Amino acid sequence: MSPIVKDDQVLEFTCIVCPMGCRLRATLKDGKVCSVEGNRCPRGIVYAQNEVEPKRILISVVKVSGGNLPVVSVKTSEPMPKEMMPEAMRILSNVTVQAPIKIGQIIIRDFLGLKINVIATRNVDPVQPS
Amino acid sequence: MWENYDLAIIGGGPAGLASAIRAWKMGVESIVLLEESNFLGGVLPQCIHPGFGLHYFREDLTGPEFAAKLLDQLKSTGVNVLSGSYAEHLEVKSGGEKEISGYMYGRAFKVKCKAAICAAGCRERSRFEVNILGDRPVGVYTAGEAQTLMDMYGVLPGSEIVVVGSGDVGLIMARRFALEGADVKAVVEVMPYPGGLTRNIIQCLEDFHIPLYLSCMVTEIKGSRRVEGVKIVRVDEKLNPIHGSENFLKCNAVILAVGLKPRVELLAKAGALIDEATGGPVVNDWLETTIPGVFAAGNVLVINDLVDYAAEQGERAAESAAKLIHEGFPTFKFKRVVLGRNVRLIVPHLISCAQDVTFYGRVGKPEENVQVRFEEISRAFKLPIARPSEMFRFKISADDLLKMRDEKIMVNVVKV
Amino acid sequence: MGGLIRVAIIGAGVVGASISRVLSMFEDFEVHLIEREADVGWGVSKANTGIIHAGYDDEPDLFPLRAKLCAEGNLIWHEWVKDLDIPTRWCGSLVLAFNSEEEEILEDLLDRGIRNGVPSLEIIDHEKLKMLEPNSSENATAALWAPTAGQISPWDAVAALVENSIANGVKLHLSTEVRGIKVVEGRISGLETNKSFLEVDCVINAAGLYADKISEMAGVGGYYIKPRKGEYLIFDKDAEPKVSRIIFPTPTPISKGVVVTTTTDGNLMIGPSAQDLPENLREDKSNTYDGLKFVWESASNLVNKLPPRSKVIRFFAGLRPEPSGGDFIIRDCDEVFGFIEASGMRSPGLTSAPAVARMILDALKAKFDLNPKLKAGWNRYRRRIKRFSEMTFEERIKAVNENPGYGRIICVDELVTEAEIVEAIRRGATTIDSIKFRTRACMGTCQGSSCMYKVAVILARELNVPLWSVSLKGPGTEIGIGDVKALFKEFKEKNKLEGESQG
Repeated sequence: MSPIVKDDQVLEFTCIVCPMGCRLRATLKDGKVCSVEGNRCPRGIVYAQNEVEPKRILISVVKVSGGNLPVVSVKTSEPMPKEMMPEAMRILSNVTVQAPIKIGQIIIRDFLGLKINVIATRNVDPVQPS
Repeated sequence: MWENYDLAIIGGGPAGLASAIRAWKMGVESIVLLEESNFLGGVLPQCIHPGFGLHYFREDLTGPEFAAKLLDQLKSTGVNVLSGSYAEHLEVKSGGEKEISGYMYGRAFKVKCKAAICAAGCRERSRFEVNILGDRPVGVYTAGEAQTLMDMYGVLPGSEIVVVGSGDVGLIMARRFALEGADVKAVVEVMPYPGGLTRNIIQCLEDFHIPLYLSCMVTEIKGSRRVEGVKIVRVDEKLNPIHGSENFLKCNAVILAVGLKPRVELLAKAGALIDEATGGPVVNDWLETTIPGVFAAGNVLVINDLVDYAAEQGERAAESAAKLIHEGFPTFKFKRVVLGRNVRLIVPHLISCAQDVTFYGRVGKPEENVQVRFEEISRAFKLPIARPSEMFRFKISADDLLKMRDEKIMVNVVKV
Repeated sequence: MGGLIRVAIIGAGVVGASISRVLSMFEDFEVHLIEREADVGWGVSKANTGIIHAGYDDEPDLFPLRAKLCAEGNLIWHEWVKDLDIPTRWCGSLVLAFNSEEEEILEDLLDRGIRNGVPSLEIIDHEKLKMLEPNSSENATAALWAPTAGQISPWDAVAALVENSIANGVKLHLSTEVRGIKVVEGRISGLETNKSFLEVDCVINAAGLYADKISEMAGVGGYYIKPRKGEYLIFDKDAEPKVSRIIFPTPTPISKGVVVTTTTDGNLMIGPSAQDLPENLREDKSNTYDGLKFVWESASNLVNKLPPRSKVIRFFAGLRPEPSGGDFIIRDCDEVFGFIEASGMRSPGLTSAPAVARMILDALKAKFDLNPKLKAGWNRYRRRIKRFSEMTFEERIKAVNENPGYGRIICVDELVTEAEIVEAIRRGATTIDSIKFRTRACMGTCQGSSCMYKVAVILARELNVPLWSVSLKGPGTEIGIGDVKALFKEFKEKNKLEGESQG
C-alpha cells in the first residue's frame, strides 16, 4: 500500500502519529516531499516524509531454549522498510536463543544489512530445576 | 497468622505497579502487592507491540519494556510482593481496618491494612456473551488468550484467521497472525466504523492487505472438532442482521476482541457500589470506592485505551491512600457527575471540589467537532473527533470546581 | 482364567458405565469398557438436564421398560450417589398446570406414577406450589409434586461409575472405535477396533446414538436411532432468581418440555428444546437462534422471572437417541449368542441406567447359566476429587499445608486449584474437557478465556507433551496447529519440494 513516488505528484494518506488521523496531501519534488496540507500539527510533515518510504518497527517472538518461557519477544531497534518484513520474519523463524536473556539484549546484529539490530524486549530466566 | 501493612495493593499490572511505586515515594513504608499470576506486569508482558508509554514515560515502548521499567522502579522500593497469590475476600472491620485473605502456593494468607487499592484489571468477553451461535469446536479464542498462547507460550492457534471486533486489540492480533505467516481472512466489525485507532487500521490491516468488514456480524461458528469457518451477515443501521446477506468464511481459528469487563467480583462481594456504565466501582475524585479506604485504579475502575492512563490512575489512588494513611481524610460533601448528551460513561462519579480532578470518559456515538461541556462550571473542551472507542481525558482545576454551586455537575457532548 | 466370561461393553456413557460397575462386583466376568472418545461420558450423557426423574412420565402399557426402569433406577441412584460421592440434590420436581385441561393431565400423571410404584406423589394447589417454589409462575393453577426426583451431575456420575469400575478390575479402552463384530457360528467371538482385535464372549451394546450401527455390525439390527437435538442455556452462578425445585411444564406426548432447574453446581439451567434431526446428523450439536429462543420463551412461562439474558454464560446442545420403537431396547439377542442390547436409551435413560445394569446382569446370568460370586475385595466406594471451593476455611488451610498446589488458584471463577487438576490427570484425564468436567475449571463466567491456557500448561507438563498438542477433546482438537513458527516450517518444506522437482 506504499505510495509510488513520482515528481510533482500529489500523494494522499492518513497520518498515524496520533489518534487524530489527519488526512494528509503531500506534494513531491525530486523524490522528496516539498509541501504538506491537511496536517493539524508539525508531526504530520515528518510523517509524510517518512511515508514516502514507509518504515515500521518489526515485532515478533523468537524461540528460546532452556528458558522458563519457550519464546522471547523481540523488536527492531529502528523502523525498517515495510517491504522487507516477510523476509525478516523468515529469518527470525530460524533463530533460537539460549536463556537467560536480558531485556535489550541484541539477538541479531546488523539485521538484513540495515544497520539496525533485533533486540529482546523481555527478560527470560533459565528454566527452574523442578 | 495476620500480616500487618499500611497499604495492600491487589493486582500487579500497570495500575498496581504504578501505585506501589508512587505510594512508596509518598512515604508509605509498609506495602504489600498481591499478584495472582506468577509474574508481574499484568497483560503488559504479552503485549509485545510498541505504542506504550508515550504519555507516562515519554518514550515509545513495547508492553514488556513498559513493565520492565516499572519493575526496575519497584526494585528500589521496599514493597513486599506476593506473586501467585489469589485474594478471595476483602472485609472492612468496624475500626475501618481492612482484612484481605486468600491463597498462594503452599499457604493461605491474611493481610490487615489501613488502606487498600484494587487494581485487579479486567477480563475478556466470551462468544457466549455476544451470542455467537453454532458449534463449539476448538479454535475459538479471545484476543488476549491468543496473545498469551502465541507470545508467552509459543503456540500458534491457527493458520486461517477471522478476527471479530476491530478495536485496537483485534487489529493488533490480526497483524500478529499475519506476521507469523497466517492468512487473516478478515476483521469483522458490527459497527459502521472501525473501533481502533486509524494508526492501527493502517499499520495492522492495510500493511498486510487484511480486509475490514464493517457493519457485519459473525453469527455462527462451524466445525465439529476444529473451527471450519464462520457465518457472517451484514447488519442494518439498527444492527439487525439483513436477511439474505449471509456469507460463509472458511477459517480454522476465530479470535474474539469483543470487549472487556472490569473484574469487580472482590469489590462487589465486599459491598462496593458498581456503576452499570463503566462496569467498575463508583468512585470519588480520590478514586475511593463506596467502601471507605478502598481505592480503585486501572481497568477494574474503567476500561482504559492506554496503559498510561491505568498507570496514572494507579498513582492517583496511591496518593489518596498515602493521604489517608498519613493524615486521614476530612469529611467531604461530594457532588455527583451526571451523564448528559452523548456521554456513555465518566469517572470519577463523585467530586469533592477540594482538588484538581482528571476526568476519563467515553462518548456514546461518534461525532465530529464537538465540545465536552462541564455545564455548571462553564468549562468546555474541544474534541475534533469523538469516538466511543477513544477515551477522552480532561483535567479540571480545583479553582474551577470551587465555582460550583449546584449539587451536581452535568457533562454534555455537543456539536459546535 | 478359563472360566471367566469376557464381556465387552460398547460405550462408556452412563448406561455402559452402570453396567460395568455392576459386572465389576463379580468374579465371573472380565469386563472391557470400550469408548470411542478420549474420555468417558462425552456422548448423550454429557449434555442433558441431569434430572433423576421420579417415574410418573411413562405409560407402562405403551413403554413398559421406560416405566419400570425409571422408577427402579431412581431408587438405586439414591444409594449409588452415596457410595460413589456423586454431587446430587434430592430437591423434588414440580409439573405445573396452567388450566383445567392441564390439571387433568396431572391426574393422569399421578395415576401413572402410582401404577409405576412412585412414592409420595401429590397434586398441590397454587398456594402450596408457591410455598415449595416461590419463583414458580403466578399463573400456574396446580402442580404435581414428586419429592423423590433429584438433580445429579451427569458427567460426575459417569466419571464416578468408571473410576469405581476400574478400581474393581474393569479395563477401560479410550479412543477405541469399534469397526466390526466377529460372529462365528452364531456366537460372538470378538471385536475389531481401530486399535486391535479383542477376543470376547459377549458384547453389550450401550453405544447410544450409534447403537443401531453396532447392532447391524453384529448382524442383529432391526431398529434405528433418530437423533433428537436439545438446546440449553446456562446462567452464571450469581444470577438470580434461581429455582430450588425442578420445574416442568405439563408434558406433551412427545416431550417432557423445557425444564427450569438449578444444577448441582448452583447454576440455573433452562432447556432442552426438542428438534428431530435427519438420521445422518448424529454429530450436530450446534446452537441455533430458533432453538435458544424457544427455550427462553418456554422457560419464561414456568417462572416468575428469569435472570437477565446478560447473565447467560454458556449455551450448548445435546442429542438424545430416540429409538424407532419408542421404548428402550434391552434384550438378550437370540439371533447372535452373546449379543445383548442396552440401547435406545432416550429419556429417562440417565435415571434408568442403574436398573438397566441390573437387568443386564440378570440376562447374563440366564444366558450363561451363572450364579455369580461377589468379589472378595470388591470396593463399593469411590471418593471424588476433593474440591477446594467446597472446603471450609480450616479445611483449606489443612489442604494447602498437606499439598501446596491447593494454594495455587488456576480457575478464579470456580476456585479450582492446581492440586485438583493434577489429581484429575492422575485419575486419567488427558484433555482440557476432561479436566473441565472433573474439576469445573473453565466452567465459570469467563468460560476458559482466562484459565484454559493454565490448564493446558499443567497438562503439557504432567503428560510431557508440547503445549500446542494439548487437546480440548482428543485428536483433531489440539489447542494449536503447531509452535508459533509452524507456518514458516511449511513454507520451507514447500520450497524444498519445489526445488527438488525442478532439479
